[in-house]
Amino acid sequence: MLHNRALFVYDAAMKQWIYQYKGLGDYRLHDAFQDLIAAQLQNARTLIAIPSESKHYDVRGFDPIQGLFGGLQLQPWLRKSPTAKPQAQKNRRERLQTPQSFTVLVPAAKLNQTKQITLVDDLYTTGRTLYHARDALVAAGFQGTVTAFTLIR
Amino acid sequence: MNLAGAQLTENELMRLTVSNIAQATSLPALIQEHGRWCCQRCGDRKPVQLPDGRFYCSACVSLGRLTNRDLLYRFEQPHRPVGDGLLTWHGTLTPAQQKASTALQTSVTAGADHLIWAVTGAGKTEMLFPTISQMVQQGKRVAIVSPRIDVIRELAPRLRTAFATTPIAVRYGGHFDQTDSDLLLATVHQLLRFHRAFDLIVVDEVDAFPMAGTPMLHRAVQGARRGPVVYLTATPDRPLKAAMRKGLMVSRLFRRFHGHPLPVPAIRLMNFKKLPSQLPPAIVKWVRDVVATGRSCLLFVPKISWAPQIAALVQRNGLRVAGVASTDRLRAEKITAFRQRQIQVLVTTTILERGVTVPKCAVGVVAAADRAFTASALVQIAGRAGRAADSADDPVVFFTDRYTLALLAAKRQIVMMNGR
Repeated sequence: MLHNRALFVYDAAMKQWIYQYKGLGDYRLHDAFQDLIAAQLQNARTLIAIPSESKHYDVRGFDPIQGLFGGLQLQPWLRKSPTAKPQAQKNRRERLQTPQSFTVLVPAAKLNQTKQITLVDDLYTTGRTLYHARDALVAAGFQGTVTAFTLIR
Repeated sequence: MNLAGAQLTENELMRLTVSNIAQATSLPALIQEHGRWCCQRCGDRKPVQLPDGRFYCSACVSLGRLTNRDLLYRFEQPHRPVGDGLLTWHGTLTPAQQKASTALQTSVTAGADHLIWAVTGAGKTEMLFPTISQMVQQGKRVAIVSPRIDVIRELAPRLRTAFATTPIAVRYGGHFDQTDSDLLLATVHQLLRFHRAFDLIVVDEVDAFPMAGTPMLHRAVQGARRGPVVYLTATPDRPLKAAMRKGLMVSRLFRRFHGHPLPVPAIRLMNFKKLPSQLPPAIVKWVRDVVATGRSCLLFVPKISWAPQIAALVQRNGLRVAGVASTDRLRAEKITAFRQRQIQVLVTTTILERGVTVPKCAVGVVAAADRAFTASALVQIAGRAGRAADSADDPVVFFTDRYTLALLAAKRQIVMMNGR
């Protein structure tokens, strides 16, 4: 199991927030939770942001996770290869069947300089994305513990 | 779909599957003027920079984001008149309404802006009918807009009855009606999708949130007009009063269409320490008493989170109750059920301060001293009562734990208008 902590539940207000931030691309909202997030993650050792696909960056003009966790030091150790359909447009079954799309960009020796990695993302739905990210790190030779932190679950 | 006068983004055009893109002129969505980016859709001059270097307009982002690399498409082909504009409303205007209606028609014919300052329940909408009918019959385009979605939903059936043979397009967030028409009924936001398109724009409840304090929405009206603008309100704000001093034509109506005075609110002082987990027994008793007289009851609360809580407290007394707030997805359904009297008591925030008209309706305001209730909000709220001629004296009570200027100002305004 992957231990995940989240700040908010996915209610109507958070749905609206995610829509305005990621859907409409209103970048102003990126620092809305910065203080709350910083307080939650002040003791975390190594933070890895779940990356988004480059084509999404081209459309949005920003990386939503980098924006959300912008005040913190994030390690660019993961890369996401293009997928057919974004998670947000899938139902539960399709989400769970999503194939692995993460590659680890650093060697095992570098990974194992730390004992604990916290994956950070905006939204935990089925957990598929975070589990893939963890599996990719383990497959690349990481031996420590992996936990996750999301804004919303 | 007839796109004359439309101003659309690339995404909107793709969703509409229109074939006449070639007839559009495209222009950059944001252009630099004196070194500052300016949004060509809403006129905002404070765009936000994205990490990739682009700028986007944050003022009108809710209608789809525009960056300095996007294009805006404007359709300027001459439009073909749709609809005959025949008035199928068979009511008669009172002499006071007739006078205002004639003054309005004179202003519009002369191309001048006009303000109708009329108390709640004066019959503002009916006064517009002759002017709208005349414009549409001449093949001109008319937009009736309001900052409030509930006002639009309330107006839609009335307008459809009054102009039964004229197609009417109704548009608000999440409801994009593609009817070809010369009569648009929409929220003010929707005017951002037009450029110099309308020969007459009527702005109902012009001083309401979010129009008050959002210059972008005022620019939306200015950008979509190519003729006069008519403003309607019961509570003109400072900018409107300033415009009146500068010569804006005004028609004043301080009598309701049925001739009875406005119900004057009673102010009842009480202790509110246990709100919202407990409702003072005096309020509960008042609600039960007014429902027993065969009236519906609107109970206003200051906070969104209170609406369901207080609705649940009232419900314990065996009444049919619902709570609504701006965040409520079932809002329209609940309001309809209230109108049809399936719901006896509707607990609501200031979202329903305007536009909702139910005959035989008592009005209570819980914690009326709260900052959410400004003087104009309280005047509008009190105006929900006494709308029918046979129940013109519906009770209005402000329940409060202290006096505020807004409370006293609202009461004074109502008494003043009754005295004119």
